Amino acid sequence: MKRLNIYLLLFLVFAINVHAQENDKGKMLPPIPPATGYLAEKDGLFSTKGMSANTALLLVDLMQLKKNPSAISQKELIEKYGLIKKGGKLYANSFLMGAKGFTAASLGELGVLPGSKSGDVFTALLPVERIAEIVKMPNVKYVDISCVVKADLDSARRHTNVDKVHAGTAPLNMPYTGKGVVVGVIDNGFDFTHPNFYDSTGQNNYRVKRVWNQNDTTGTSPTGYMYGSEYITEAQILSAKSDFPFYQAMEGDHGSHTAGIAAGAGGYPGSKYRGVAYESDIVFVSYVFSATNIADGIKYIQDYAASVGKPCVINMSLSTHDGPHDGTSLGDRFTDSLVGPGKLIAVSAGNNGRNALYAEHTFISTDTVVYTFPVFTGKSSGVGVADIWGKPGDNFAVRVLLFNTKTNSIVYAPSNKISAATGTVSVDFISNNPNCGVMYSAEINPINSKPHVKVDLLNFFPDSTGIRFYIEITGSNTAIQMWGQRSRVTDFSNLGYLSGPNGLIMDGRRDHIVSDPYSCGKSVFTVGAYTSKNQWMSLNNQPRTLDFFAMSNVGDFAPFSSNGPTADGRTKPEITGPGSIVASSVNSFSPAFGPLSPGTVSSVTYGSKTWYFGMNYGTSMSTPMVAGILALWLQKYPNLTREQALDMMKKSAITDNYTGTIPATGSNTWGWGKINAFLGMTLSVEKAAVKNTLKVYPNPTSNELHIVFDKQANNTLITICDVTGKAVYSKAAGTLVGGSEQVVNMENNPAGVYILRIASNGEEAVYKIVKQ
Amino acid sequence: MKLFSGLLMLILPTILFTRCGTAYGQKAANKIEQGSFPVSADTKFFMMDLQNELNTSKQTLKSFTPTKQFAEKYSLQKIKGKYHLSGFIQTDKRFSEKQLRRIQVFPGQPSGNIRTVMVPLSAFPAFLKQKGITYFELSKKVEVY
Repeated sequence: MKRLNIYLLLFLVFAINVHAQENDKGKMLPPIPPATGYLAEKDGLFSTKGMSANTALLLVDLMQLKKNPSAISQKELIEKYGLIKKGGKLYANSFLMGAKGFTAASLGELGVLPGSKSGDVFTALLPVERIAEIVKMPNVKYVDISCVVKADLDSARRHTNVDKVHAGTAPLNMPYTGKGVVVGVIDNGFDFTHPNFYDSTGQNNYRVKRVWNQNDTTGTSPTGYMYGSEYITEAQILSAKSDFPFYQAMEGDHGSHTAGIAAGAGGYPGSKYRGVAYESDIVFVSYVFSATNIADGIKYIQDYAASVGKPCVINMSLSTHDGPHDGTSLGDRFTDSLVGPGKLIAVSAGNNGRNALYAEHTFISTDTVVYTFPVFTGKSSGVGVADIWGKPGDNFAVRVLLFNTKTNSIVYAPSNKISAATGTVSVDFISNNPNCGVMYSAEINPINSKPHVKVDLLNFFPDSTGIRFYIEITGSNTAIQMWGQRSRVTDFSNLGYLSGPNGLIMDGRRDHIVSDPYSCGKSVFTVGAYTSKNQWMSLNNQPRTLDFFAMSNVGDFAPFSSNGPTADGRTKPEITGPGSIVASSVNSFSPAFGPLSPGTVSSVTYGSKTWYFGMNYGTSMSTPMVAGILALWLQKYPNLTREQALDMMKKSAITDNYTGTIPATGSNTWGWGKINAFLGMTLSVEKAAVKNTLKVYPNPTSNELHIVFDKQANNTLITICDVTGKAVYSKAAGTLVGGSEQVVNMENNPAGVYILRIASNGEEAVYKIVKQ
Repeated sequence: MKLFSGLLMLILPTILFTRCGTAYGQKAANKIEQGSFPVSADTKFFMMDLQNELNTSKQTLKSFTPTKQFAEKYSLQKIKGKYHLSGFIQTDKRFSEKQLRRIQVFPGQPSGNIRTVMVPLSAFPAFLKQKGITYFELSKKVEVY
């Protein structure tokens, strides 16, 4: 029998409060006797068994409301927990986890209104008066009303500590807002008129300085380009209203959303939808779906920023899988030359975390053939692409066969393989069968010297025939990597076969699937996503939750976010940001978000015109969070280089139970962790001269931390702070000769992340230290 | 009569020669062949598809109007009434921007030795013969996503 004892809990809260007040007055804390055990339910504690912390707090507040209505009003309760009032009753939007055979409908007697189901998790509206009873039901394993809050950008800003940067929290000497920095956004679906792109009033100081609408063929192209139309003045931009209808597609809100996250000011005073660099200048490039147009867009934005003497960061929330994934595609190399001091680029990792798009194999002399089944969006027929790359200077060959899964037999096998070294293009009409065909294009790529065969596959045999494509790759003492092209959704599978007619069948994998081109680039920041919110209340007051594709716990990795590394083994992504689910501005000229749309969460009206804010998820959303943060860092350090910014990210990134301990080389899921705008900004830009004289080990450490000085260091000061900025170690080490070593004992420090600063020779080096 | 016969004898071969020459010229202009620099695997697909489209539609490259499917597959952009193919070129010291412009190919702003180009389909065979280009990579289709 579970017992509810509110009094003891309230007493504990009261006691803690008294302590806090005493501290405020500067009184010394009395000696604290050591704890001898743990309080248990038998001691009369409020049991939270079977419920989340938030659910328990709701019950406490509910009791308080009944006992002392002046302490908390029903209205406050509704706002605090996102409760819904239906027929005079209060309901909490909740997750229920049930035992085997449980259904939310089975709780109908208790007034539960069932929602949807995914596995053993149910959504439901629970009458708050009955939650205590519901928790006790034998089939109910867990009740969670957590995270039912209004959708906004503030949770994403809070997760990344952007709020502290906006506030200029010490040790920052001023608020940082992106002022003096150009934020470029290359995307589609811009609403140029959205109040989010003015200052914080939503109506004054329009901040969009340039637009290149590559889809508009009616105007004047920018100087140096022959296509699209450039809007230069505020009047021109506002008159164009949107890149819609030049861009007419379902994604008609994407650019308004990403730009709002990176640089929106919120649309109205006090808005929760304020983005990151909310006082930056904005440049939009509405691009045609082509990598070259994006490259031109990067140059265009950077040239504008240079013309006004400001640093810039560019956000590119876009993706494809078409290239070597090693940073050698010409789009990547084009970008390499453009990134430099004060010129940074953030690109989304992609949303293929659930797709087995990658396969690889190493051939040895006794293992020279490998097979795989391309799978087209989970069915046997369709159009697909397999892009196969080998090792520089080597060769391999490919042929595509037809396999009948019903008879377990090969029903067609071309007599010739296509060798990458032939450098040819060819079509196999497969005995003139109208149901299928294969195109091969082979090359030795002159840029990276890799053998490469791209295979276009068309299979329209009905599912009932069981006939599937079967890719055979042969090689000797070499290796291949292959990707399915996301736009046509080609996964790889062994279809459950343990071995094929001649050997191994490869299964697809979910690593190495960061998008290409651009995302695998060597000079960009590639951004993955974690979940900062998984439920929200729509504008028409309906509780909404993430779908299966995106669902994860708040703080956990977003399951759709693509994993690295790159084909050449570099860590990708570099960093993660909140990308699921984020509220931002949407395009008022697109039909996707209206007042009744499930994703619409708020609106703002000026005169007779209404604009909306809506929910989206994806690495498309986490990337502008990082781009905006880079803009804040550029405001402080206008000549910040990619290497310096990466160093700041590595040293300041948030790690927690979800990320686990991240090795010094980074993680191909989380990068170096979750972006931390504030801590990154408190670090001084690394002075390579100092760093090169130091060696700090072991890191992570469980006891001693060794600092070795290779060269003489004068006026040396060593400090170690915890993540709150509190110094836990400080030593004025004076002059140290080359080869000397300082040892810091960290045995008594709690496990966690620390910042080690070594000031010497008028410079400072900063290291992130993990204490295990 | 004799004068007429004489004129006819003079005109007919001229007409025949001219017509044959035009047909031969059209056939040659419609031929999509590997040029003086290597191209990407995607470009080879494009060249094969373009050749097939020309052969099937019996259009000349100069006045070629691609099907919607073809234009979408290769992200062709219609600019000033002409369909353009876009891609990246890697160049060496012999590269001449002026020479490219002369054949109506429009280069974008350079980044190192790489730049974007917009190639009108009618100029594609001539583009493939340009000097100073060491590689052409057909632009890849990129989604917002």
